[in-house]
Amino acid sequence: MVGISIAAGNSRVLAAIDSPNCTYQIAPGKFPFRGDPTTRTREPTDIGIVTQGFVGLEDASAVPGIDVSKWQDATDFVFLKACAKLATNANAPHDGRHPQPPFVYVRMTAGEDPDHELEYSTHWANARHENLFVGPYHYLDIIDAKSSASKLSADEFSKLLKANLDSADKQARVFIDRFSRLLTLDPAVDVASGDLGKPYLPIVLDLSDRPQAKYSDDDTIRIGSIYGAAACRWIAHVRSDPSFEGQPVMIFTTAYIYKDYHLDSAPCNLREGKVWISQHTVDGERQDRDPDSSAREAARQLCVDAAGNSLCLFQQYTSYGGFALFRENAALDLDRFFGTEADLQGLLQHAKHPERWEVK
Amino acid sequence: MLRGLSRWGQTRNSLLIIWLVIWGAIAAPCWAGEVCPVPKYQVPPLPATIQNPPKPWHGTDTGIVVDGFVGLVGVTNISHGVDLSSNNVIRYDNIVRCGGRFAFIRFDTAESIDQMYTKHREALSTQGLTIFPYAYFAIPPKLRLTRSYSSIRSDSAKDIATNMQTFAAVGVTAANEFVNRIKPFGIPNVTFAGLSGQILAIDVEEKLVDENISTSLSRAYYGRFYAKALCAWLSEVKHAYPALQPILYTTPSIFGDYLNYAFPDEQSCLHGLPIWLARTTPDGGDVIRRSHQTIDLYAQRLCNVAGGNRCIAHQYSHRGMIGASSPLDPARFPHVDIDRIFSVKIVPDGANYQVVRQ
Repeated sequence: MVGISIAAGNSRVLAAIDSPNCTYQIAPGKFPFRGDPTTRTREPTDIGIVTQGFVGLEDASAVPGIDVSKWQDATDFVFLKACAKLATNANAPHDGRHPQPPFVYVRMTAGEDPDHELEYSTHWANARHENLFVGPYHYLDIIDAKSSASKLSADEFSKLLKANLDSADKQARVFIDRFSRLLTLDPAVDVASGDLGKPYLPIVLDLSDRPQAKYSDDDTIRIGSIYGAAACRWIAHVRSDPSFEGQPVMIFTTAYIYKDYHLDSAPCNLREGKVWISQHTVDGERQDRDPDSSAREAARQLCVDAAGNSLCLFQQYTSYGGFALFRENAALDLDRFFGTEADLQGLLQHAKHPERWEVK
Repeated sequence: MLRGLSRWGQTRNSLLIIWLVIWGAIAAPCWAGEVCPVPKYQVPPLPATIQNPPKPWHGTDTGIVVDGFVGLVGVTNISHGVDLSSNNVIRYDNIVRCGGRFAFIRFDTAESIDQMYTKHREALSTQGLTIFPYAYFAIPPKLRLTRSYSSIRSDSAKDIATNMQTFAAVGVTAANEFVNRIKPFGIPNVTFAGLSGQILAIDVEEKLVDENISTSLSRAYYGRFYAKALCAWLSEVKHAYPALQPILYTTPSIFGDYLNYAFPDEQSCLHGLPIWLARTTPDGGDVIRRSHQTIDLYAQRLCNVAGGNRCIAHQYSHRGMIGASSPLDPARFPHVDIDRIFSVKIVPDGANYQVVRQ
């Protein structure tokens, strides 16, 4: 692919010889919006502005990125990297050893069943091939009550809680096994002795499941206590594994999921490892500048702790980055990291104990 | 005989003789050693004079129609060559004259040794080309039925274990047959483009026979078992030939639909192996392309591994007419598969190593 960077007003355009253009625009901007914005609080996926490239911020540094799973399986990582160069300094020299933008979060696992996510290895390999920042995430699947959670007896509730805690353990084991084995396929070049594979962005737990969504607020609050406990169990399990011991685990969620399920009341501090917020603003802006004041306030509650510290390091701002794909009109989640490339570099983690995962 | 011909018949024969004389005059320099630079063309873009007829020849032969090897703009570490089987009757000297440096030669089919293997090998090795045999790795058709895999899920432990055993046995049996077959011929120990050892290509293209009724999950499970068979085959052959350096000849969809879903042990076995990719690109260009086609998505998924681009060999046209003169007419000039090999490097990883382009 040969690209030409062209200045076009306040945006930049990468014109590919045999492909549609890729642009870089600054938020706030005017974009087509796909999906109904009034439903976005209940439907966090596949909704948002339709862009032809990454969307930057007017007065703050941001590193562009994406997240991929089997639902976004058509990403062209080669073109993606070229597009990200529009959002960064394309002419800046790079040592080739450290990863480059964009960052790519790859879904490793979803729930207990390893077959729920099968694209993880090729996504990871393709992103590594381009020497991109890459990180793993797991989608936490909550076993829902078959009926209204608020009507469960104490015994039924207790059984559901146990089932979810057991499931969280199983989900953590599936994640650890898959991610560790994948890291053994990383090139050994520049890997420090004792490290398992190359560095990666912090492990993420995706809290976008919506158990009891069709029931009342009381039901979501009641199942929310199970939700929070299962999330804490998964995080504790991963963090106690010798290969990932003590590593931060970031949560991915929406402001409304965190609020509706009272995840602030979870038995652990779910925001300890920081937050990646999904907030699909209509103008591509960051969550704290969302034109929708109620959404902005909900985001503030998730992203700012009692001491006023900002906890949201990443934002997913649309599901329709309609570029860098091998398929027309397919979905592509666009994200940004609030900070510089050097700040992102500082988040990289190192797995340990490669001997545990040696191929016999 | 001429006495019995009509006036039109006499005229027609006269025209034919004149035409043959003219054609011979044009073509003769070619046969006699006309300059045939290597590469003869550089893409992209494809020169306007080179055709790529959409309709395949003989039902399957696609790709650009060219009379010389095709280089890639900006890429210098390429070697050019062909791949041959009993389907090919060619003038070996043309391959050499136009800069061919290697040939993949089919050693066997699912049933037997290729009857032209020895002839092709001896003719081209005499001319100084490096020879890589390739073997066909067959999965019995009865194991390639969608219904056998359509109900398997991750918790079907017994089914999975049974199939893994069955396919491992298929790999071992096929390997033993292959080892016995190739014993009288041997596998040449060569060094080429950074590769060294007993280089053997394995033809891996056994899809489900009724793929049209399959689901992505049934393809994934068959792919996992297929990977098991392939790894068992490789392990067994490597036991007999410790210096074996395998190259997998395959298509984007074999990996995109099947082998990419191998279980972790087989993933460790396959992920670093170099690929000889069958992909007749529209312009004769490289395999990593930007498009809205699934074949290009699969090519990127297959080739671009963490250590680099592992598609180190590329079969870019089935319609190479190396050394021919215009017009390039397949009725008068045999066509062959044409390939390029990129110089390689070895990248170690935590599981094994990856053979990728330099």
